[in-house]
Amino acid sequence: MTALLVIHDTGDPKSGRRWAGLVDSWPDAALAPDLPGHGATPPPTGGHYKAGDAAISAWRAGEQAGITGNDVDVVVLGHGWGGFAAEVLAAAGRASKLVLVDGLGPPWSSVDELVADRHRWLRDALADPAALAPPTEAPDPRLALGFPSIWDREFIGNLRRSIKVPVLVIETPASRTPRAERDERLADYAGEVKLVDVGSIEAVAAEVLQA
Amino acid sequence: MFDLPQPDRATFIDLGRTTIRQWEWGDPENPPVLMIHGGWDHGRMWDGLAPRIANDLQRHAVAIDVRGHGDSGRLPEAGPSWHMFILDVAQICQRLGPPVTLIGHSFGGGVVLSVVAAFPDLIDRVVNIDGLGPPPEMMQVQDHAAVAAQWLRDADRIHVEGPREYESIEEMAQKRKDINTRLPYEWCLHMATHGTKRGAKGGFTWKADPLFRLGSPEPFNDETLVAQYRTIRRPVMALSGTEPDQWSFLQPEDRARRLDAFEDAEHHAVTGAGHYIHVEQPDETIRLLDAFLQK
Repeated sequence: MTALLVIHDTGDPKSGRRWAGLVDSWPDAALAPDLPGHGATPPPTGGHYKAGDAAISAWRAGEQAGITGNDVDVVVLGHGWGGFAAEVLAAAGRASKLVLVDGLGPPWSSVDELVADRHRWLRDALADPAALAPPTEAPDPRLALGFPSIWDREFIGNLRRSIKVPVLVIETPASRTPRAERDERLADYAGEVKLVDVGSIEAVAAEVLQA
Repeated sequence: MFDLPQPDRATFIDLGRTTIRQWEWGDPENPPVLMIHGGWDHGRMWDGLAPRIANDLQRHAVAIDVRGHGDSGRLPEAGPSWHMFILDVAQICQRLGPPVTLIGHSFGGGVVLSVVAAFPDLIDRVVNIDGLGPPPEMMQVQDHAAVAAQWLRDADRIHVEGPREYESIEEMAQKRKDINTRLPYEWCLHMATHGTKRGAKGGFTWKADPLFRLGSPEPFNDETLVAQYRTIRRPVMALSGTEPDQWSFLQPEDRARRLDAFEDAEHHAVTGAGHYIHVEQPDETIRLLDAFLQK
């Protein structure tokens, strides 16, 4: 049995529903949970999010549905920021295959840019009453701020070199990864990598099922 | 005899998404000094220093229990986030009335430097008590896969097991004494008295959220720490102890290199102190603080 666990993008108003077609067509157990603060799932305790925290919430949703746990093969698909959470699960040995949809990341940040982006995020958050108030809508307005950059060349490279399972990379026109950097990024993975370009996010499901 | 006065006021601050316990000493009309404790501690660890800041230095002395510690709100299921702590402290500073002087110990020392780096308009100066970060070699993560696996495993375990229970507060005080060997036992007992609560099984648990131990993969290392220090535009006073101690692992050359990154920093090595400089040498701490505040 090979299950499918989908980690949707952060702040996606469609949340798990975006992947309903893929989940329905998957030949085995499949789940695309609404992550905390999205859809019907309550925000995390204290209403604060961090990059990659979906690795824990998605895995736990998978456990409750009986599709993640010991001795279960699970394909983990991550979209956008969900790609980082999916990579964390793969690095931790919790995925039998990894699918990244627009998940290779934006241009790299220098060390000074990482620091500047943290400061920008913090100032934006402090200046945004909806990001500080108790969340009453979904997606949580706090999620519109995204996360401070994690796109440090060395950090991401090290993480990817520890991913040994096959990786399917699907890029749509919405991807923020510079085309010229794709090959260099794909070369970081320790295992087999396949790259597919599709015309839109709606075309992703068919590619995943075919692969 | 160990006889510390109670804080003048004990309140809860509603930050919208969490609640923060706040302890206060002295006249609220005086300029505010906000104190941030170390990891696994709580705001009452300032019970010795705070009354002197309020009375001798005529400041509005305020200490909080950091989120996930003491009586404050709990941590997210995926564990702590550095930015979350920074945002909490910035919100408290807004409420206290800027500019605020920040004092941070250990983990709290790192927090106050991050706050002043991101929000210079809220802060006038910063005191860092043995909190210039871990040694570079401890921050150099080679194996992010191991960090990722450990993060997920620890989160699973804490989710299932809940907090550990102990039979007595004295036993818990002794646990801290075994780790912080230089910290006087009565302070360990003070830490445990105010840092524990009744558990579900009838024993005692630490108030500190066990999720605080979770560390997720993040781009954080010596280089990013120094880059952050380079952005700080307010005076910094850094204190270290001369005595070897738990959590005082930073070598003099690494400390000097990090201090060099600040635009305006002074450093004092306090004789006869280890990691808890303000507890071990309160007179010298107050003397240095008084001079720094008048600078």
